[in-house]
Amino acid sequence: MAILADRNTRVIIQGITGREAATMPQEMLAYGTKVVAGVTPGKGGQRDHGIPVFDTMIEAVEKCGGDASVVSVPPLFAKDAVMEAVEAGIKLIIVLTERIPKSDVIEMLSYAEARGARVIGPNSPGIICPEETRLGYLGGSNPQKAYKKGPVGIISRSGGMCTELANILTRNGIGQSTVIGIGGDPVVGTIYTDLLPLFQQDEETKAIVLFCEPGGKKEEAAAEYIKEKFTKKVIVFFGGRFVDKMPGMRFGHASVIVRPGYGTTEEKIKLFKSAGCIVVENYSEIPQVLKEVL
Amino acid sequence: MGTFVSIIIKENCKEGCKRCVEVCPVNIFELKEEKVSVFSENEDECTFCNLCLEVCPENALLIKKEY
Amino acid sequence: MRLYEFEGKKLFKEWGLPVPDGELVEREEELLKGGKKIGFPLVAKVQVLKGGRGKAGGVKVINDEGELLEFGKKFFREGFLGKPIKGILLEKKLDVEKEFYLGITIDELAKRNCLLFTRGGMDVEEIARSGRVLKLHIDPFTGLKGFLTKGFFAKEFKGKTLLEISEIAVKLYDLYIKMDATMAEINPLILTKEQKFFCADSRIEIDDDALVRQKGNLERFNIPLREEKEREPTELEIKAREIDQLDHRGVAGRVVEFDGDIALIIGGGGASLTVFDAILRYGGKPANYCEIGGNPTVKKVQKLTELLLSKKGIKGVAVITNVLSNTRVDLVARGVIKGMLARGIDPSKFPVVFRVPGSWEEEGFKILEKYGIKYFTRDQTMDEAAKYIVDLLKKEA
Repeated sequence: MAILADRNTRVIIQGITGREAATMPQEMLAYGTKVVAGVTPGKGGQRDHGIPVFDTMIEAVEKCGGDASVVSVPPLFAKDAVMEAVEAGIKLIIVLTERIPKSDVIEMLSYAEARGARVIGPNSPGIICPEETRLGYLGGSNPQKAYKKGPVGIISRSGGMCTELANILTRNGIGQSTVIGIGGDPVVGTIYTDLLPLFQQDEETKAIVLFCEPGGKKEEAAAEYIKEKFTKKVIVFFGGRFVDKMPGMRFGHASVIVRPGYGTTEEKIKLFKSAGCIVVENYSEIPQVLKEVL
Repeated sequence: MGTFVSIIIKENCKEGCKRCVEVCPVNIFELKEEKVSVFSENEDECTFCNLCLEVCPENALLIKKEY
Repeated sequence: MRLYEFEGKKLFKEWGLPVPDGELVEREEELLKGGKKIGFPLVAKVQVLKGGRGKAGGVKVINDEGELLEFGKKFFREGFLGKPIKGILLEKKLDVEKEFYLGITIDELAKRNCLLFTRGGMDVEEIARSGRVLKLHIDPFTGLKGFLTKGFFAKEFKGKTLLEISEIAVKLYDLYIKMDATMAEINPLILTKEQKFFCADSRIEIDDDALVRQKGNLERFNIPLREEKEREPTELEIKAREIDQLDHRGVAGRVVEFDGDIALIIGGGGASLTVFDAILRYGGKPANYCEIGGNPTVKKVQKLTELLLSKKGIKGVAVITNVLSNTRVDLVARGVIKGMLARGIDPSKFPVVFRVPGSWEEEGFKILEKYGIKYFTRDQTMDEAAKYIVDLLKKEA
């Protein structure tokens, strides 16, 4: 059972006609995602590759139903889009947009949480439940090459590494249950500790792979949760171990920056190991390790 | 002629039409006194979206891969 | 974007936060004028964007003109820790009874802003580790109001000082929100012997993602845009930034220069980190870190390639990415090859490796084959490609 979404999840794409959305709507449809509508204020009445476009989320949900939405709008419109989705009763919102002002992010996350909606992102590539559904752009135009259905869940701070890790698993005959890109920003709506309980409950998921980076405290919180409450096997891979040696310098993602002794991969790895996780140095080791535990 | 893509405007291009100029998402076409020409600096940005081919009423465009 | 202390204090003043009388001296010649205005004894503080000034001698109590000139000359002429200073802030010396830390920043696990308070200023990280920090999460829709802050400070303060510090926190939050800050610290917040509060220091960071909408405020307070790294950006890094800003399509930048001989054209974010680790692990010497992603234009990739190859001593190029979803492989190939050709490099002879699988890879591989470039597919890992180029360079050495 895929966590968060499956082939029956009705998805609305917010910002569907915009430049940012590009070929994503058709690709999602081609993958089997139930894209029921799109919303771009002012463009209601059009059709985008057969998908009806509405001016508002309320109308889209009214006419087509909707369980989840994918937000692909410019940064200064994102907060409004998310809050509009929440108001329309959407319970799962994937925010692809990056560079949203943080005070907007904090507001939209608070608003969503108070109304029982889950936000993934911002700066997320989306989620994919192989052979079920895809919300976002993981796998690009041919997700079936990299992703296949199976017993391993993947949670990653990096979008590209979702597909890269899935790819090496698939090449080795190991499929994935659900793959989630939580986003590269420091403040995101869903972190490892929000997803681990769902994976714990999911019968189909037998093991988890985490892609982690230096900076922030998300990994520390995950290690603590795993130690106390998570019984399935966890394999961890870090990118950016070199950053430990360069405190104060930011590399790539806004969240990848350490201070001496704070947010370093060394510290995080220590905690994961003491929580019973397997931390690999080279991600090519992951399939072999998984084969031994599955 | 680009290193990777060459856009060729044939002689039957109608002056004053400029539909390709408006539709190209990477600005490969430019208008010089009502005549359309290729902005060679952008030729290699061509993504083969084919929108220019679709809108040209005269079939005056050719997209050539140089590899 | 980090603000200088004097800029932060300008904002504090605007928001009604108590600030000691101060004068910013931007040139050595104006030191004495400033000293006269404030009067002795005063506190002189170098204005730099790096933290830890106090421990490194950048903050000093000055008793007379002689000492002021000595302090000022040293830092105006030599800079502070190798960096030129923006100026020296002279402030009236306060009669300190107690010091506190008061700040607002984002709690990433709670996904909210939080108010932090502790007794004893300065080494807040040490104090945080010891667990003696008081924290209050702030609901963005309620905000930070007096009834909340009074409750928060009630155990630490009484009477007038309770009301004053509660009000300071409320005003600090208002500033924080209106200026799109991601951090606003008063460290130390001082209580004088006369029981008056003063913000002895100011550390404010403005959200980089909000700079566009803060344009008006920044102009109003005369705060120029800046990009501050732990060290001064190199010429290469500055040029790389300009290239990335050529257009808004995707990213081809985020360059950090290193001292090696392998030019890296890598992406996405997590993969760049992974590849960099791999090159180091196999004993290679990267010449740079960078990131490409979001389907950048061929032009940006080309210019970035040209720039990275312009660095002295480049012996090889590694073009390695994760399986690409929303970036086209063939367009990346075009950009890199055009960049190499522009530098007069023959891609079939120069040590190059490509490992760029993903969208439009069939087209991309055709291009690489035409130019005689060694490439790996998604069936080989990024690490294997990294090892290949490191080994190749070792062989050629």
